[in-house]
Formats: sequence, structure tokens, C-alpha cells
Amino acid sequence: MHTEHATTTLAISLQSNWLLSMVVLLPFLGALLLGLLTLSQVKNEQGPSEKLVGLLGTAFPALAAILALFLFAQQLSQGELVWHHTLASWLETSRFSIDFAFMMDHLSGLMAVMITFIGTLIHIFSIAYMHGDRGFARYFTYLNLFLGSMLLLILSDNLVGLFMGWEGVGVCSFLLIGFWFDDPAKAGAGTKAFVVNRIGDFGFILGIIFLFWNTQHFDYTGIQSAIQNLSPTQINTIAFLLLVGALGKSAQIPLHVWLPDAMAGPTPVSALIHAATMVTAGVYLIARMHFLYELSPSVSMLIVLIGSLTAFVAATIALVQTDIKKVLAYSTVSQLGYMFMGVGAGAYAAGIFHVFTHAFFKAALFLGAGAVIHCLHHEQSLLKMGGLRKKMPVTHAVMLISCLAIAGIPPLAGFFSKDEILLALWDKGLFVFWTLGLLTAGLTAFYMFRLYYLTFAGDYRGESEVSTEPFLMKLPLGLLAIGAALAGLLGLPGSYNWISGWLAPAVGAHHPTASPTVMGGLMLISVAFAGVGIGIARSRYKNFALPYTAPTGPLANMLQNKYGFDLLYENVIVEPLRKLGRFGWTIADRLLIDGAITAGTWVYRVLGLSLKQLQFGNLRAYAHYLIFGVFMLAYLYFMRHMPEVFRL
Amino acid sequence: MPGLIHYLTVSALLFFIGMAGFIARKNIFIMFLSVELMLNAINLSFIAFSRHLNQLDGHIFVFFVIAIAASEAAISLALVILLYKNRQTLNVDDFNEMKG
Repeated sequence: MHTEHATTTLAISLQSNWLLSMVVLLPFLGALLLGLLTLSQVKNEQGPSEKLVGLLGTAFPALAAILALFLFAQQLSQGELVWHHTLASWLETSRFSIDFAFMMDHLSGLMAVMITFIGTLIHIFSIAYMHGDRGFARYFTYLNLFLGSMLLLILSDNLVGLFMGWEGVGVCSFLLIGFWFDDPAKAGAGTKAFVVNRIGDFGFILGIIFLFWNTQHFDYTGIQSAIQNLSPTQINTIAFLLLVGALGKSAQIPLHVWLPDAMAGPTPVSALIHAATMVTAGVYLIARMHFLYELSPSVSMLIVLIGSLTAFVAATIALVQTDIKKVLAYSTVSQLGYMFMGVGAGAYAAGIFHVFTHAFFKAALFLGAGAVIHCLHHEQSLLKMGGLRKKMPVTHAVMLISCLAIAGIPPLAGFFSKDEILLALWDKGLFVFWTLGLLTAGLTAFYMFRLYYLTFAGDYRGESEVSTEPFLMKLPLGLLAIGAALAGLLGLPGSYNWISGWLAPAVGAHHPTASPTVMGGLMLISVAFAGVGIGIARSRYKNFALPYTAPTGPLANMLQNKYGFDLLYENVIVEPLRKLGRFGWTIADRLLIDGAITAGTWVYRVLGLSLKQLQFGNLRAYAHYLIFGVFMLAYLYFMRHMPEVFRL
Repeated sequence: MPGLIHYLTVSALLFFIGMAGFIARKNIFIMFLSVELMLNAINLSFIAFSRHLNQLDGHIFVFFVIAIAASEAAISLALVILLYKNRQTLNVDDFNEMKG
């Protein structure tokens, strides 16, 4: 059915559209192979050879990346080309059919290339990072599985396929956060992520069902044409329910609590799943369903509100964190808030642009942090770092570029995408949220350079020996740093904005109405805020020396407690549920149900004890029973059928 | 000429003698003999009815009963011998170990 769309394009697309399915299938194939390899060596203390696993585990994502790049290059050269491929039919009923069908338009093409490219780099980095770990092969199995699920999420042409990928990445996230599951805290962090995501997913499922109920379609094109006939209430309900799913996956308030805890996983996992790809799935969903959100201004406003609150709140929490990964985690939450502000304000291309640039500089930051942690032998506290500039020059350069990029210093990547979003807010007249975004930008610059100075400037404050980062770490770091530096050039402001034009067929065009003077002024303001943030960080942390005095006061306490979200959930949700569970266990289960069953056994025990007296081992007594029984049966028979016998 | 009622009377007498023996006697060997007696009492009534009704069904039953009684006798005699070898007694009241 979908291939008919593709016939309008050139013949080459007909010959090679099966490659689209291969992009999704290759990582799954890799996961299958590696999984079997892991299982076959499970009794072996060493596990499968790291060289073999590393090669296989990186080859499949790399192949997928090459294929995705090939398909994307075709799109680049042919303008309106949209790839379609139906791999197999899944469900056929008289009312609807669901296929394993893939679609690569400008939006999913860009996402697929970014995901496979960054994914491959992180696989390479992981070979060095996970060296010597007992779960080396298991790790690569999960990572391949994640990449396959993520591509399924991005490239499916219907919401059911997207949902399968959505759940797949959730499972992989759970498996990888709890990768070192013999530590209860880490296993608990995985469970927390999974449970919080389930809450969002529940809304998502309801949204898909409600959408199908009203439009009879699962595929995007069908939904898009059918949605025009719905009432505003229906549209708002659907938009809100899908948003709940997006909030869970993209760690927005109030479902953001899982992402900082997710840092329990290996650091490359944090880079790939909890920064660059999976957590942006919510933004992707909203951009993908842009035709729905365009019809629902109230839910869009809600998205802007949640996004800006999340961006600001997370940025303030990041100010007081002393764990390098925690700073980056809150920074990710904050940047995701930015993306939500963008898509909520109707600037879908700007939101996706920020997803794109953020993927590069945040992956670089996380991998840089991973290299630091690796070389300091699993030390994550910023207080025990310092002075690493000379010891780890490559990582230092990469981190500096990425910090400048996230802080929004031109011409690095973050500046352009962040500015695009702020401009969209200004254009819509959302000045309150624009101010929040601007403040967040300043805070971001401050805490990122706090991290930078604490890690690289001053003197080394740790005890352990600093080793050097291996080549397999430097390579992906360098490539990502190039991306972090240059990715922004795809979206130069004004009429040079390539990415906005590129995404227009998929997510609609958005033309800022502000005059060049205003745009220039806004840029200057945001750069000034970033500069001030960096300046304060420099003055306070450039020559930082121990002892560290944690900031005190009511404000600092509130930040240390992360605004009490965890405490609130603990007291309002977790503890009552735990009490309910305990009640159910002691009263309902142990007393009522178990009691009833125990009472039942006593009835039979008493019956058995009394009846066994009849069977005392004497054969002649049994003969008496037998004869008595036969006579009773005969008596009953004659009574019933020949009563005249007794009348003789 | 003896009629049906005579045969049935003899059959009933034999059956109750056998039953009394089965209940009253303690020697396992005698108890088996009593069972045989009961079986043959039933055979007699089958034959009598068969003659009376001019049908062959009763005969067939009797042949089956005789065949089964023969095989049962073979097994039970072997059992009796084994029991005696093991316990040097055939008093059924001594075999009372299997109980609830």
C-alpha cells in the first residue's frame, strides 16, 4: 500500500527501499548474535573474547549508519524523496491492518542518521570503557538492542510500531541502568526509571487507543487526514494523553525524577540513551504529531509551560551538584525542557534542531566525563578532580568545546539551536517563558563552566593515579567535538536556515517574523547572559581549592533537596502504596486467604482422622462391609424398581 | 421334575453357606474355598435361568466365570503358599498390618 507512494519517486528508490528495513533490522540482528554468544559462554568465567564482541557489536551499528547515510544522501540529492518499505504484514482484520512498515522522511531521516552515527561512536568508546568488565558481551547485546529499538521508534510509519520501539528503548534503558545489578542502589535506579516511564506510557497507550477510536488510523498519513474532522475536545484529549507519554520518556516535570538516578548505568549508556537519543523521543513524538498539536493551542501552551519550568528547575538543581554525571544529567533534563519549549511554541524544526545539536555536544560531554571517570578509576566527585587539563589534553579540548557549545557561545552548535527556540518564544509573544529560557541559558553557562573549572583547572585534588585515555576513546571524542562545533551551522539564523527548510515538508514551515535588528539584539542578550554565567563560574572556581563548603541557606537547601520532588513522591505515592502492600500481605493475604485455606485443611484432617478408624486392617471386617454394602445396594435397587418384592 | 424354584433354592443355600464361611472362618484357605462356593452358587442360578428362558446368555456367563475362577484359584493358591512360607500361619486375623 505504502509502496504506491514511493512509485512517484525515481526508480532507484524502488530498488533500494528494502535497505530501509535493513537499517532497523541490522542492530537487532547484532543483538541476537551477541545475545547467543553471551549465552553460549555463560559458564565461562572470562566470557566471549572482547575483540570478537567489540568488533561484532560495533559492526552492526556501523553498517546501519552507512545504510542510513546512503538513504539520507539520496534524499539530499532528490529533494522530496520519502522512503517507504513494508517489511511484513503483522495484523490484518476487517477494520484495520498493522504492518511492519517503515518510512523515512526528512525528519526521521535526520534523526536516523544522527542516532546511528552517534550510536556507532559510542559503541567504539564503549569498547575501551567496558574493557575488562565481566558483562562485556551482555553490555553490547543490550546496546545493539537499544539501537534497533530506537530506529524502530524513529522509522516506523505508524504509532503502533513507534510504541513498540518506545517500549523497547524503555526496556533497554532499564537493563542498562541496572547493568551492575548486584548493587541494590543501581538495580533500584533501573526499576525507578522503568516505573516512572510506565506512568507516562500508560497515558501514551490511552492516547493511541483514543486516537484510533476516533480516526480509525494508526499510520501518520491516515491520522493526519482524518484528524481534521475531530472536535477540539477530542483533539485536546489526544494531544494531552500523547504528551503524558512524551513527558515520561523525555524526563519533564513531573516525571523527570528518573533521569538523574539513571546515571547509575555505565557512562557511555548515559551518553547514548539518557542524553543523545532515547530521551529526545518525546520531542520527536510531538514533532511527528505536529499536525495534532497545531490544532491544540492549549496543550501546546501546556508544553511550553512544562518545558520552561523543567528547564529552569533542572538548571538550578545542577548548580549545587558535585557529582560530574549528576551535573550533566540535570543539564540534560534542562536542555530537554528547551526542546519542549521549542515544539510547544510551534517551532518544531527548532526543537528538532536542538535535539540534533544537543545530541552532539551532550554525547561529547558525557563521553568526556566517561573518559575522566575511566582515567580516575571510577571517581565521579568533582571535588576530587581538578588540574586534568595537562594530564588529559584531548578530553580537555573536547570538553571545552562542548561546554562552550552548550553554554551558547557562537559559532558553536548550541548557540544557534538555543537561539532559534528563544526567538520562537519571543515571536509568539511568550515573554515570561522567553525570560525563563534566558535565565536558564545563563545558569547553564554557569554550571557547565563550574564543572569545567572544577575538573580541568587548578591542581589535582584526588589521590588515585591518573591514567591516559586510550585511542578508542579519543577517536569518538574528537569526532563528536567536531559535530558539537559545526552542527549549528546547519541552522544559521534568518534565511540561511538550512535545517528549517529541510524539515518543513515533515513538520511544517515556521518563519520568524522578528526583524533582523530584533533578532540580532536577542542574540546579543543571550550571549551576554552566557558570558556572565561563564565569568562568574571562572571567578569562583578557576582556582578552587579544598575544603569545599556546601552552600547553606533555605534556597540552597531547597536545591540540594531537588525541590523535594523525590520526597513528595516518596511520601505521597510510594509510602502509601507500600503501606497498602503491607496491609494486603498481612491482613488480606496472610490472615483472610491463608486463614480460610488453613481452616479448610482442618476440616479434611478431622474427617480423615475419624474415617480412618473404619479401616483397621482386619480382612473379615472388610468382608462384613462388603456384604453389608451389597445388601444395601440390592435393597435400594428393589425398593426403587420392584417394590412388589417386599409386599410378598 | 425339579423346577426353576428348586434350583434357585439350592443356589441361594449354597451362596449363603459360602458367605457364612467367608465371614466366619479364619483360615485363608477355607475363605478361598468359600468364595469358590459362592461363585458356583451363582453359576447354578445362571444355568437354571438359562434353561428356563431357553437362552444361551447364561451359559456364556458361566463359562466366563469358570475360566476366571480357575485363574483366580491358581493365583490364590500361590498366594496362600507364599503367605504360609512367610508367616507360618494362615490365620487371617494375623494379617492386619495394612490399616489407616
